[in-house]
Amino acid sequence: MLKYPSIFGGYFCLSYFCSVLFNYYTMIEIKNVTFGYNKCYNVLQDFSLQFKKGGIYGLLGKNGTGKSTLLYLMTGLLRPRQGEVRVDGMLASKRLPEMMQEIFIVPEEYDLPRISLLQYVRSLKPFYPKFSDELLARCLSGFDMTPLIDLGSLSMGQKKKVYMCIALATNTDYLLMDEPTNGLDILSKSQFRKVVIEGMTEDKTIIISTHQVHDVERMLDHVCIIEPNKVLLDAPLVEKDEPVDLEKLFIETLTNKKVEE
Amino acid sequence: MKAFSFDRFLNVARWDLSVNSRFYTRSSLLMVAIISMPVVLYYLYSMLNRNFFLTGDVSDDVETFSVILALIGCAYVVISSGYMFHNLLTKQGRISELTLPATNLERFLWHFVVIVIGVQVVYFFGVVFADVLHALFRLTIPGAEIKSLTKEMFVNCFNLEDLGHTIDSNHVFGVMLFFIILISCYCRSFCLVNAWKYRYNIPLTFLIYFILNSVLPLVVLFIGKLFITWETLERFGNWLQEANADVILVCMNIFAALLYIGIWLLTYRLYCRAQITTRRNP
Repeated sequence: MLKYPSIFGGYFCLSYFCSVLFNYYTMIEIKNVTFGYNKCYNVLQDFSLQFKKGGIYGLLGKNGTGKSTLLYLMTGLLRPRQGEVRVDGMLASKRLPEMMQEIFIVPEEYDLPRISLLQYVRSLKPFYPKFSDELLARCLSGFDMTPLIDLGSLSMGQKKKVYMCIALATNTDYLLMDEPTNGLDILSKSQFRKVVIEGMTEDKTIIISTHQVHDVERMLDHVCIIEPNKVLLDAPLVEKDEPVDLEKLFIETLTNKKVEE
Repeated sequence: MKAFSFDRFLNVARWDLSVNSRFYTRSSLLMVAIISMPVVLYYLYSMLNRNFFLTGDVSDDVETFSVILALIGCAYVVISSGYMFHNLLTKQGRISELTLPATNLERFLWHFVVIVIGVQVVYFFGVVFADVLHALFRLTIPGAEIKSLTKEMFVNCFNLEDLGHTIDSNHVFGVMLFFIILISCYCRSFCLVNAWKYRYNIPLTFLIYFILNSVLPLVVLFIGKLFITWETLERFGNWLQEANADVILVCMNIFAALLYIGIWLLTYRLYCRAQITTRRNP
């Protein structure tokens, strides 16, 4: 009789261990990272943060707090001076293909090659096993664009929209966006929100670094407000019933004072 | 994880050729045009200044052309090695290249193939095109003899008889290929500086070329003169003359090969450690 509880106990212990292990390997972990562009000043100092899989994260902070730097560290485009950044358990600085095919970055400014979109997609597709042509077409139509375009003839804002569509179509587990709404007109900002939400799935994690809090506040599931050496706020937004005023939250977190309506 | 996958390597090649299709096409066409220019200019000048179509007294000047083409080839080698990491020139280019899901080895090897083999192929086509133009111009001259520029370039330039070696004509092609690859690898080693600093790639590549070819031997001579007497140098010269030329050649080649391998390994290491922004490459 006694052996059944022990079997169940063992099973629960094992499943708990597996879930802990699974969670460890399905997230971005920034651990005690110190990074600086020169020897005199560190942008990030003994900085730690975790991004769990699933949901849209907003990465906020004052100018120069290292938001873009953090995105580059996560994609292995920068190497930390101290500490480590791991994506699904893999060291980001090693830029292993297994890791890179699950992470995609949309930088603030991006210049696409002067070729057709179809040609560009054809060259990029083999690197991303989960690439979806259907999702690309859907995202492009969300921005009132067609796949039959020449990338060389696009304006800066249009290029950004196309690149965001490609980024969503790669279906990578992690999608990092640096100031995605900069350079977009009012209509495109609204289209951007719609496209991102439509392209979102449960297993995807989108991290948006921005100053334009009003552009993204309705779509965020989680917000992180950072300073060079610490995380000021790391809280989910979905649990709150009423809509969150992100600007107010940002000012309150930074100044540590209550802001009147 | 496999450090090298041939499929991924082909994907890198496809991606690079698509993204940089304009750059590759334009630079190849420009190279072919530059190689053909001496031939075209020479015959145009002759046409305008001498009525050689009537007299047929124009010499074919094959030797002169082959020297000019060899000089162009030399400059082309240095310039093209400065473009080995052209994707890393801009910040956005660095993002595209370094976030590509492929290993550093696969990406580096593709750039190596482009620079060591691709560039050589373009140069060869340029010389053949210039040869065809040369033949066409010669055809218009009544009774003129037609000699091949390509043959002159690739056979006479690799004439080893001066070194006391006679090569079986069946092996000439193999020897030529060996020399081309050896020289190409040596010249391409200037791209080391390109992996270190992405901007000012061409001036820096020329600078390292100048240092390795002119300054370094002078410095070695100067330092050598401080420590070695003329008698020792004379004795060394005599020993060289008496020694087996083959042994010396083999030793020199081994030394050169080790030097290239060292330089290439250092270039690869620098490439692997590339970041989006550093103090050296803002």
